[in-house]
Amino acid sequence: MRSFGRRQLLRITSLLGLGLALGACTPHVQDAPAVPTEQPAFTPLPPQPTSTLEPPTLQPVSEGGTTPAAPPSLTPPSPTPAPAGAADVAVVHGEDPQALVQTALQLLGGIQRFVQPGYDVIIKPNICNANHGPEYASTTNPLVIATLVRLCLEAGAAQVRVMDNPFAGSAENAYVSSQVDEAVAAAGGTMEIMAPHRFVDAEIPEGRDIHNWRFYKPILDADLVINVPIAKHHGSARLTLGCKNIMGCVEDRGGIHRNLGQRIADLVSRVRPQLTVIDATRILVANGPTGGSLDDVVQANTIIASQDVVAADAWATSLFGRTPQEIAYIVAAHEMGLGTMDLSTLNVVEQTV
Amino acid sequence: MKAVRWLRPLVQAVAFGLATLAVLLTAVHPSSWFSATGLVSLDPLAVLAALLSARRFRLLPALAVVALTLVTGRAWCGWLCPLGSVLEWTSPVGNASPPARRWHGLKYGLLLFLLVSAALGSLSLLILDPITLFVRTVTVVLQPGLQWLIGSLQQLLYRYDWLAGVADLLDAGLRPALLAYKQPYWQHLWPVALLTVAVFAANRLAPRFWCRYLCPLGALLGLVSRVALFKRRVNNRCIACQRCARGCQMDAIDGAQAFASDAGECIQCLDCLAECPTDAIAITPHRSMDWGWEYDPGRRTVLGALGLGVASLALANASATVQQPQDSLLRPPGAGEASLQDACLRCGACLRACPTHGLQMSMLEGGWLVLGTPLLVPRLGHCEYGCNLCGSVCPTGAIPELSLEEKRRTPIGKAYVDATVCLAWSGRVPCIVCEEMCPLPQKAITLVEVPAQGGDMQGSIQAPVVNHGLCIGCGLCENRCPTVGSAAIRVRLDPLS
Repeated sequence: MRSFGRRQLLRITSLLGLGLALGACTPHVQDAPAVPTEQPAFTPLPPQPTSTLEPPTLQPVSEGGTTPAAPPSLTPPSPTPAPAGAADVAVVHGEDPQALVQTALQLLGGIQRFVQPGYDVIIKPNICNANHGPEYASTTNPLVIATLVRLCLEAGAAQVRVMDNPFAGSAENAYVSSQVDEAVAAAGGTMEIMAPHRFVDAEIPEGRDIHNWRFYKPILDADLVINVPIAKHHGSARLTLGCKNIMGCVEDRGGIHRNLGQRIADLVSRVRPQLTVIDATRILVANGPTGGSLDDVVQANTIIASQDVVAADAWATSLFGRTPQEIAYIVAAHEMGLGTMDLSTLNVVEQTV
Repeated sequence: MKAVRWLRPLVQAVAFGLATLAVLLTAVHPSSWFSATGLVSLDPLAVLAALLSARRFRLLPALAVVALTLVTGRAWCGWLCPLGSVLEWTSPVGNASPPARRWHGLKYGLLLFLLVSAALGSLSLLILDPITLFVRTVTVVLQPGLQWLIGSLQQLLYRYDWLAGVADLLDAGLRPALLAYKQPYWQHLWPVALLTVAVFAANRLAPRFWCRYLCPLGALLGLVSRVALFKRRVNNRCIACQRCARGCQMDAIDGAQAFASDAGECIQCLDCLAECPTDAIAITPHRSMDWGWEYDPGRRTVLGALGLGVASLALANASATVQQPQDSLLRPPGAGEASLQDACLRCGACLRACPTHGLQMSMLEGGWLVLGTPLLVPRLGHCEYGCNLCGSVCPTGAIPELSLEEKRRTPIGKAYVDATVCLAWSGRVPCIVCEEMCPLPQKAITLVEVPAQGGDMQGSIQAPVVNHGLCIGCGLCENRCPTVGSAAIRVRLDPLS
């Protein structure tokens, strides 16, 4: 009998490894989609008594943007304090998306408030599908994104990356069909594919329903995350706006659908986008989130910008004839102190250009 | 002649590399000829079989391989075939105790069986064609295995900040050709892998066992080689040293016949020329036909193949799947059972191109006649609303080439809600993921209010209803339905289509 040598050992280990690898590729190990558990129906909540809310205080936040252990504050972190007279929510109407974005940021106190020289900036638009071009209002207007890229670079950002994780179609295709690819490249930014290995388990210290989830690490690490959703209709969430757009930062979106409103708010508490710019130049008013019919697209010619994602969302509900109280995730985020949906306490500046 | 010792392995390695890359790139540049489609177009057996079964003749590049064979014999097998090359690299050296020579005849029997089956209308036996075997192995076994391994390695590297860059570099280099945007999961991975393993394991019995005794394409090219221009001849300088016969990886040289070789078995590897101590071997032009080996297909082989073909067809047609088709037999957009049966080459190009990997190779779900054809399994991957790649890569048009607009109007089936399983219909949970996912401009899933039940729930919740006038059966709803195991909304064949 031959002795058990190096070659046999290698052969057996490699065969075992190959077997394991193939075993891992058969369908049964695929993650089962998560099951929604019992939760109250989407019954509109009564409006929150405003007396419990303090007016927003724009406080500077320490290095590193999100500090997970920090107690909930009414405002998301921003690099520098707002100058006097700066708007809490800027709403700009007009036909030129570029001018709308520029004006909105001026009203908030300028892009320099958010971008410091050398910053690593990530812009998170909504590029949820590869089915339709931007005119169908299911993906963020490429001009809005490109303008933000240009403003960040002008303010001295070291790099500006743009990314989303579509649920229908590959990112490669969706970046092209949404025409974001082209616009961002022309503005000097880079499109990034959200590769699976960069999703990591992360704690959600302030989470009320979920306490950890798999997030896209570069988004958690970036100096500045600019959240650039498109305002549109959505079946289960009713509307998809700024908070809902944060769902594109995590790996398992199916699991978020269980107790959707609270879980979206929990995700927002971890990502804490320092700036939200809601693209309402074109809005999709029915058959969202993917749409596909121009009959459902309304030319709303509006940009809503705020460092408070909840406040921006709250204002944007009015475009659809709804109130913030009707949208479960806005209410949940408000209750967690991630921002305020009570616009009467904020300096909302509306302007037409 | 010594140059052949390094030249041929080099040519083989380049051909193998290009073939593998072509299959991988099918998912990236589907319309290019440098793809699985292009590779399959070179296969004369697939062309001949499709010509017999569907009377379609579209793969002209295969004529180039026939022309090459008419000049040089089975040089395709010895120099170019990607499967043959790997089999050679994994074969033991030498030809110590070859199986009986009549085993060579097996492949002719298999070839005839395949062609008879094709003439009778089913191309299922093309799963044994070496090119389809190669494409399928790369697609169903190699790529998913590698993607999982590389993905795991990347996750490991990414845990350490100083190694994260390596993980990113792997991603930038290998995506999307090798790393698809979704990890593919194949429901019949094991049968496909085991067939490949068996082909390789047979090497232990004899070098290139598959090429020698089984390969139907080799048999076809072998028949053509009988009249090829260049043939191997041994002259009177031969000293009967046996080296050529012992070294021949195809066992094509017969010591009992003065070391003459069979033109149908010789793969023109030229190893014997390099081996011969007296330069007694030459490959020279001959206008003759090489026939009369003891294993050449005769009356019995032909009758046997004919009998097998007829019998298998009769049994396949008498089996239950014909009378009672499964409602889950969903086909790629526009592809019908008939066209898949007689025109699908079982090549797997569509499986590689499908971005969601919802297109899966069938085993016996649709019966023997359509073995190895593409099936849509929405639970594993839906038919992407913005994609028409399967039709554009299909080499024979078995899946019709539809424009995106046509494809979006072509139903695959219809979705049906099972209210006994649906979370929303049970009244327990608000869940309308299916409605959210429906990609149609006017959603094919509408919502009704049902009374809420259980817990502290009051009022009503929304539950899905499918509008069958709009539904095209893409299966995105079924794919994303949060139930465990089979979905509460399932695409089935439309009885009205």
